[in-house]
Amino acid sequence: MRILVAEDDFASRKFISKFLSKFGDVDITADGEEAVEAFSYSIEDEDYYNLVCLDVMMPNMDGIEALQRIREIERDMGVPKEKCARVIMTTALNEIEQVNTAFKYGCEGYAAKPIDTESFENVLKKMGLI
Amino acid sequence: MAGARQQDPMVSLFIEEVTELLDSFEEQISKLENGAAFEKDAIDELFRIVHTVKADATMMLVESMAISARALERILYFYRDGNGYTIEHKDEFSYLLHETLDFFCEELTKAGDTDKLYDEKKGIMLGKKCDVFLEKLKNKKGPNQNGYKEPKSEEPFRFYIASKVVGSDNNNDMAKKAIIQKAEAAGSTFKKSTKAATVTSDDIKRLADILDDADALNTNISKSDADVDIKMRIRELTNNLHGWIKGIYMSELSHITIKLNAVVKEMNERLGKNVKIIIKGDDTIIEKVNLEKISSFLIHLLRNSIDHGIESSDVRRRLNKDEDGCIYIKYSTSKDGKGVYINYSDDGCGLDADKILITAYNKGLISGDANVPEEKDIFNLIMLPGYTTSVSVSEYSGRGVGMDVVKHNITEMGGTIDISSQINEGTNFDIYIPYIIALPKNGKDT
Repeated sequence: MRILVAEDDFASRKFISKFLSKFGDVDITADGEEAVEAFSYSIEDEDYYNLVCLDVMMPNMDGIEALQRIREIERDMGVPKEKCARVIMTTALNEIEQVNTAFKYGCEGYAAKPIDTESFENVLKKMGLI
Repeated sequence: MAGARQQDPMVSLFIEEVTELLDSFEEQISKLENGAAFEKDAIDELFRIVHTVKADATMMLVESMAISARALERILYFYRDGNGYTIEHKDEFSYLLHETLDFFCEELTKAGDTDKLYDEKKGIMLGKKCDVFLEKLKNKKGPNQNGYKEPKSEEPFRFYIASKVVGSDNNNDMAKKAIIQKAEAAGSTFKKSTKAATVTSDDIKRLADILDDADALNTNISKSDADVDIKMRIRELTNNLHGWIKGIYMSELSHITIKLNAVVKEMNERLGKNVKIIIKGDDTIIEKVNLEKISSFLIHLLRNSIDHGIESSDVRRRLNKDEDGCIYIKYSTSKDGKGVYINYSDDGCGLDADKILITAYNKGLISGDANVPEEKDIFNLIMLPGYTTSVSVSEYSGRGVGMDVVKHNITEMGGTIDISSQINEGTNFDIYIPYIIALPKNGKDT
């Protein structure tokens, strides 16, 4: 599967890309803006990402905004439902309001850092990604 | 506290929300059982509760709860949409509700504690039990059967992946602490009663002291030359205090009646017997912390009676006894208000003193050169750990744990048990459970 990761922190980036590379090809971006850019290219090429992991606190564009933009792009481009990406927020911010906002904007998962990889895998299974 | 990790706020929220839901879950069960709610209302409300628990548990990846909630939801869905809100097999259904509630409570205490694993197997098992029950319901045609469709579970994904908590030092977390206390306070079944929940035996003892002080004050003031109006008001206040506090930690024994009935019914079905149970005086009150222990040993006695005590109809007919067999439970408050008597009796085959003596001797529980004990003491031998006469192991009893557990349960509450029995007539258990706080004596406050 195709995976897109947006993560500004070097160590986290390394960890998450290594962890996710078990499951597919991982593209890495360092902020929300880059992620949205990469995402729109993938739509144009019809080479859809199956999974997008977004950090919340990132420079230029944060993860929540990136999430909104990603859902907008999918909507505007008329991406069929089954091709829409599964989005999991990955963040140390786990205040209830944050989490609710993210779900409201249409992410499917919210993982608190440090990531519990076992549960993360479990969720990928539930989402039918692995 | 250094090194104490804050609990994940989402996990705390989950615990809080589900705790509340389970409170109303229990409330609905008892309303349903004592007929205080229309079945329609209860079903709608239970449906909402179970549905939300399911969604929350799914999101928080508590699979054990999610599985059993999903199965229970299917039953409620069937009652609602497939059966025109009619509850069939109500006893069995309410037994399932209790079982699921217990399980939810148990699992919820583990939330946020990485040292404790959710019992997924049990969740699956409970789910299967619900499904078997649902099949049974479906086989009987209900009013709307034709229009009934299985619910589709096309809900959007929402998963929250909590961090693994490093270390289990979650002492700061009040929500979690509260729920663990709840579970400990009330054993397992009726622990969800909000009011009983956080009250422990120690709390009750302290309340007793406060009440004593209040009573003393009341007495002093009534003897003094204070204004009559003030005297009245203080008396009223202490009376209210008594009543209110009692409401917090006391509960009627009727809360376990349905459970006992369900046990008898289930065993009757499996063993092909038709044993009746008569319960008297279940409006007697008892401390909620002891309610579960009482129900647990009564269930034990019921199983023993139905499994080994009460003979098959054939045998009973031959002995000129009533074919069905009967178990009789009577609760009453002691005259001094210090405790509750529970008289339990069955009209089964009774205990064979000689047989018991031999078994006890063979098991080395008594020595051969001791004097032959009195009959009453012989019966007490069956409550020694490791004693069991039944050769065959049945599904219900005879697994080697038995009367010793009953005895242990009772002594733990500071109570006593006496056994008397007549061969072919039946067995009696006279049990006494003292109150942690004695009830105010009648006439004390006049």
